Amino acid sequence: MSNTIFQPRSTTPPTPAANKRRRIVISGGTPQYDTDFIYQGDYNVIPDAANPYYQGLNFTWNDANSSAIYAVENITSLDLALTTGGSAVSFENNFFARNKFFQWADRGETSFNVGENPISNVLPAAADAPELNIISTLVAGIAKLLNEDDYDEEFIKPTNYTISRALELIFATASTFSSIPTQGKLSTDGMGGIRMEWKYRDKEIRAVISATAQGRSYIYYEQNDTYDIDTALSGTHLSYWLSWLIT
Amino acid sequence: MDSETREISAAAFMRRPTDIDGLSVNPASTCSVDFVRNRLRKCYGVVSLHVGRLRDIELDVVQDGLEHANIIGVPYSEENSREAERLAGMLARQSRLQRALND
Repeated sequence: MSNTIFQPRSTTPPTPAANKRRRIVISGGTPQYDTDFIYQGDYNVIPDAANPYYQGLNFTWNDANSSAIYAVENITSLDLALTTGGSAVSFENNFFARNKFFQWADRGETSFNVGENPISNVLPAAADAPELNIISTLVAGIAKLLNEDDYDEEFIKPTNYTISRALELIFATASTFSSIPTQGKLSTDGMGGIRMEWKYRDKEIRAVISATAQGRSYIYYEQNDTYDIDTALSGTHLSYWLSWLIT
Repeated sequence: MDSETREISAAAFMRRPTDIDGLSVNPASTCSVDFVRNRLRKCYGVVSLHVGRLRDIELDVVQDGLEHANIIGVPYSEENSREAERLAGMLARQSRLQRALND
């Protein structure tokens, strides 16, 4: 697919509030970049046509102290638009890319919009609820499952594949959420798989990891009478549904 | 079951391959809580469900012995994950804890 889909609809940088503090989290095929900065000056999104290896975008900005360029590779379906208007930055349409996504975590305010497939990816303000470290609670849950002494041929211990997959998901998710205001619950399915469940207010999600790569893994989500499964169980998708859960 | 909140997990109501005829249950009319607890090697707790409320969600209970019955209508996850999860959640919400492991 051509890089032309990455062309920003407007190259006009947004007008940020003076000294507005933002936190940007960019997730992609490259390692995570997570930095705090004072948003000042220019912000540009450009297709990285000069570097075919990345097939993606370079984000550039100038902060109070330095300029920086970050690259995110292998983005295949992002239709990005920047608009002006106060401090607003708008992402429109296909916010999700294939196994990649961007998240603006603008603590304490909702100054951006996501187009036709709302993601509501604003993390709650710190004062909203006590937040629980997502890694420590879930990894402790896995350790507890492994230390159970009741496994046998009928009630099978989680497989190495399942454990590896669960840890992979937890750490991938933790790169987006260091903490969330609800505690995940882990259990085995008795067939070598693991289930991770979260509830928050009237919403619930369950990540089901099968015992083998050939098994059926998925994310189930439910809010009142709305429910379905997302068969693409990945760190990106789990992050998406956790974001949905807590907003 | 969550040991702190005592909330029943939907995982308890997911049908396993060994649940050939449905989700295995014991009738309260013929089985005490102790009976149920003692017949299982691994038991986190004993919960109760009302047959009428199961029928409200279009499930049924069929007794196949004096001390045994099956909840009918819950699909395997491999057959229909969406409905299996939905029904498991409904059963978890309907269930009432009678005794936890350490009670």
